[in-house]
Formats: sequence, structure tokens, C-alpha cells
Amino acid sequence: MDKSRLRRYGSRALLLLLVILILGVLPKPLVTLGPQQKVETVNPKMGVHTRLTDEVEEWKIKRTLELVRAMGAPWIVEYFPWAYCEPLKGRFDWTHADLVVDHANVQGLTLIARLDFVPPWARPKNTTNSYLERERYQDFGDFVYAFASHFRGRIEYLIIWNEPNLSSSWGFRPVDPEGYTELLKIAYKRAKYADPDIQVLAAGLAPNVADEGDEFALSDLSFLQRMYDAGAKEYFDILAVHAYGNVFPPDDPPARDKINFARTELIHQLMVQNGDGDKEVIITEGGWNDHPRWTKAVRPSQRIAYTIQAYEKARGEWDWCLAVAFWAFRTPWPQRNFRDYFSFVTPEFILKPIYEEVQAYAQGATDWLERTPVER
Amino acid sequence: MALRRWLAYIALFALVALGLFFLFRLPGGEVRDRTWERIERQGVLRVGMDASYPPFELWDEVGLRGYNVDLAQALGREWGVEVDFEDIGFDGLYDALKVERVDIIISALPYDPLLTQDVAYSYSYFDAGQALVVREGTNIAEVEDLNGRRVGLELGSRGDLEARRLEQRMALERKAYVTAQEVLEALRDERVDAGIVDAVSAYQFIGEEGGLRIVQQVTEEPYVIAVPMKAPMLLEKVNEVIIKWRETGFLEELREKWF
Repeated sequence: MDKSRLRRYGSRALLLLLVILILGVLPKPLVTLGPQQKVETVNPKMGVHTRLTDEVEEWKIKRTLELVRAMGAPWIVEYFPWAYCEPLKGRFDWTHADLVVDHANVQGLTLIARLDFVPPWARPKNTTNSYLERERYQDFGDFVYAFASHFRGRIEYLIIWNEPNLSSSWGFRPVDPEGYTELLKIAYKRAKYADPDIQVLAAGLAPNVADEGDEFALSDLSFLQRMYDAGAKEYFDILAVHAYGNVFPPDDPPARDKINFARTELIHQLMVQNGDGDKEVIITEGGWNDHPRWTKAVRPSQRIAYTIQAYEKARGEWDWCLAVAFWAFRTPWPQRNFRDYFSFVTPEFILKPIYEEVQAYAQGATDWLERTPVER
Repeated sequence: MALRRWLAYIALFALVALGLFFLFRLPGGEVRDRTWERIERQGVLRVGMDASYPPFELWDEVGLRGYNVDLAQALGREWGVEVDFEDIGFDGLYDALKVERVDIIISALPYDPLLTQDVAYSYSYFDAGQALVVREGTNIAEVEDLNGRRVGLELGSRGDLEARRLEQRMALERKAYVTAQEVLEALRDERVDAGIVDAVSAYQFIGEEGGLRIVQQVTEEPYVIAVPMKAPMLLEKVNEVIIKWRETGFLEELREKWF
């Protein structure tokens, strides 16, 4: 072997050694996924809506999901904004979404992904992030296809859009049930094309009693009927429902002009009337608030009781309800208003009493009031 | 060349700084505050308030009244100005201040550190946090004395949270009730040795029934007055009055009147 060849091999070997050394000293990730976990609970329908979209630090994502699992809730709903995942047309960034999904899977949680939030490139200037013109529905369909393809085998449930019966969800244009149905059809076909096993949820509607022609909203019941009239039936597998209890207990009877938890039954009745009673619903938002001053709030002890009773109602009475995910487990930072009083855990990871009581229920304490002695 | 350019920059910077100084200062050297100037000029203090939180502010057959109404009127008397109340929903109070519909918010407003870039807060005039309440004559003076005691709390409340945290390091017996009122009744009837409830409920109960006393604030929830960020004079005047009221016992009198 001549000297020049020897030198060349020698320098390559040195380079290889250098690469190995660098790789060897690269810092190891601070947060790991950890071993596969399983949710232990007496009620497999329990769930919460997490708010990890703007949670930057991975350890906080992991800690949040660990706490959900430890509370005994196997279901979570999480929001994956289109604009975050596809900042430029056809260019996808799944970094943060992957973190959330992988940690959720390792914690043994079933994740329902909500998709909306129009990126700036898909809407005119000076419009809000819910403004989507019909000409752009295919762009959203492309995103749904990309999302379902990327997360195939890791996410089984998709919610298409959010509360389309509010004008704010249309970029402050009039609500449009037929337009939403068209969007749903496109999204459904693209999702199924990417993953035939994926379950598509029609959006949860904002519970309200607004009449036709109202400037800001349309009643959830009227909106859903118009969706059926527009042919939505064949384009969703499950219906998402938003079920806020307001100041009423979960067994307060439903009525068309009343917002309460049992309003879910009216939604289901409407599905039955439209020949869609075999489908299930999932409550993807809902619950009670215990702010001391908000007019739609209840006492903290009532919130605990109603929350547990609602989980129990879904388990024992509503066989057509697959899961109940209450709003909202924890927010990344304090909202400093009534919204903080929906949470189960503070932004600093302090467990609220409701967390511990729900956890006790999930562990079998069916007579939960006895566990914390309440004198009346 | 470089030196001359630097000197020119320094001269320009000094000129701008001087301009800003004169723009925001009155001839007498005082900081300019258009809100305070308007209050003085028109003789009216416009107070934003959500009148739905008795006993701090409420409407009844008498009209608008409450602790904060008295507080605002006392503020007006201190400054020799009329007080105009604007009843605004709690969520709209900050916006009303921002668009200058009101000069000041007095509405049992909790201090919010996240808003300190948008508004300025006065010193606290009331602490509505969780309080440790005992019967008169009991030798419990602080939470450290709760070891081995029966402690009443409102289930699910911040007081409950505090008691659960204390329970991790001492052998207290938690006794949960549905409302703060029930906790205080249990304390009165000697079914518990102490209670941790919000100060507003505690003051109300003590005012009506007596026999109990607050021995320690366990958590803080200071009620403050908010003024616009660009109203340093107004803020200073408010703080001066609050300090004075603390010293003269006016805040104590006000509390005793309304609780």
C-alpha cells in the first residue's frame, strides 16, 4: 500500500472516529417517553380536553398526560391547529404534534384530534383564523389527508372543525350549515382515503338557543337538522357534542330552550329522528365551572358532584355515548378569569380537590361523598 | 471622522430625550397625567364597577350601594370631586378603562400580575383570600396549631386545597361542608376546631353572629384599584389615600359597616 493511500485511509478512519466521539457525547434527551402505561379506571368513558397546543416544554406535556392517566381518564381531546402543522402550503411540521401524540399513546390514552385554525396562506388578509372560503375547502381536505396519513395507527379519531354554529367560527360571517356539510364531506373522504379505519367526528356545536337569522349563532339543534337535510349523514362516523352543565345538575331534564348537560339527549333524539340512531356521540367539551363570581358557575362542591355524576350517567344510562371529555384539564398559563375555574389541575401542576375526588371515583369510590365527610 | 459621527449621534439622542422630557412633564416638574388633569378640570371621577357582588357593590331598592360604593365616594370627597358610577359587566371592566370610558376601576378587583403591562394597580385595600377562623377564646393562632385538630372547609374550594396540603405534613382531620356558611356554623357549634374559608364569607358571618375571629390569612387575594397605565398622578393620589385610610382606620370602619 503506497503512502498516499495509507494517508487517505488514515484520515477517513480519523474522521469516522471523530464522528463516533461526537455522537457519543451528544446530550441525551432530558425527557423520554418512558414505558407503556395503562389507564386504570372503573369508568372507561371518562375523558378530559387537554390544552397542550401552546405547551412548549416537553416535560410539561408528559406530566399533564401522566396526570390524566393517573386520574383514571382514558380519553383526551386535543387541538391540532392547521396553521401550526402546515405553515406553508404543502410544507408540514409535525414536531409538536408528534410529541403530544407519542406521549399520549405511551400513557395509554385514546386521543381525539380536533382540526381547524386556518393558516394565513389559506385566507384573505385581515380575516380571523376561522375564515375559510369554499374555494379553499380542498386545501383543508389536503391537510386532513396529510394529518391522517402521518398519524395513521397513532390517532383513531378526528373532529372536523369546531362549533360551526357560531358566526365567530366562520370568521364572523353568517353561520352556514350547508357550507359546513360540504367541508365535512371533503374532509371525510380525504381522511378515509388516508386511513380507512379512522373515525371522523362531525364538529361539536356550541349549545345555544339562537333562532334562525340570529347575527351571531344558530341553535345546535337547528344547525344539526340542516346538516342532515344537506346530506351530512353519510359523512361522519360519530357526532361530537359540547355539553356544558351551566348551573344545573346532570339529571336536570333537557328542553329545547335550556342549556344543560342532558341537552345531549335532545341531540341524540335528533340523530334517531334522522335515521342515524346507530351512531355514537362523544362529548368533546363540557362540564361545570366553580368561579366565585361568574353567573354560570356553581359551588366547588357542586362541581365535583355534578362532574362525577355526569361521568356516571354516561356510563350507566347513555349506551349511545362513547366518551365524555370535560373542558379543560389544565391550561399552560393562568387565564385570570372564570376560565381557570373549569380546570382540574393548575398551570403549576397543583392538583385541585376535584382532581382527587374524580380520581377516587375512578378507583372505585362510588360513594365518593362519604369518602370526604360532608355534613348537611 | 468616527468621533464626529459618534458626537452627532450623542447630540441627537440628547435632543430626543430632552424633547420627550418636556413633552411628558409639566412646567412645575410634575409628571403629566391627562386622566388626573381631566378629573381635576371637570370635577368628576368616573368609576367602573360591576354592581353584582354584595356586599361590595349591589343594586337594591335603595339604589347602588356597598363597600366599594362607599370607598369610591370617600375617594371623591378626599379630592373634592363628584363620583359617577358606570355599571359594567366584570369581563368588560378593563376594556372600559382602556377606551377611557372610566377613569378608574373599583370593583373588588383581584390583583392580576398578567395585566400589569396594561393597567396600574393601587395598594391593596382588602384581602379576600382564605382565612383561618376560630372561636373566640381558642388558643389556635396559626395553621401550625392545627395538628390534631378538626378543620372545617368548603369541599372543592381553595381552602380545601390548602387543608389537603397541610394534611400532608400534619395530622389534621379534614371536615368538608358544601358551603363556607356551613363550615362557620359547624365552627360555632363546636363540631370543628377551626375553619379555612374565604375572608368575605368569614367577615359576613362574624358581622352577623359574632363569636368567631380570623386569626390568620392563609392565602392572599388582594382587592385593588386599577387605573390607566398612563395615569401615574392618579395612581399616586389613590395610594396616598389608601395609606391614609389604613392609618386612620377608615378601611376597618368600612369593613365593619358592610360585614
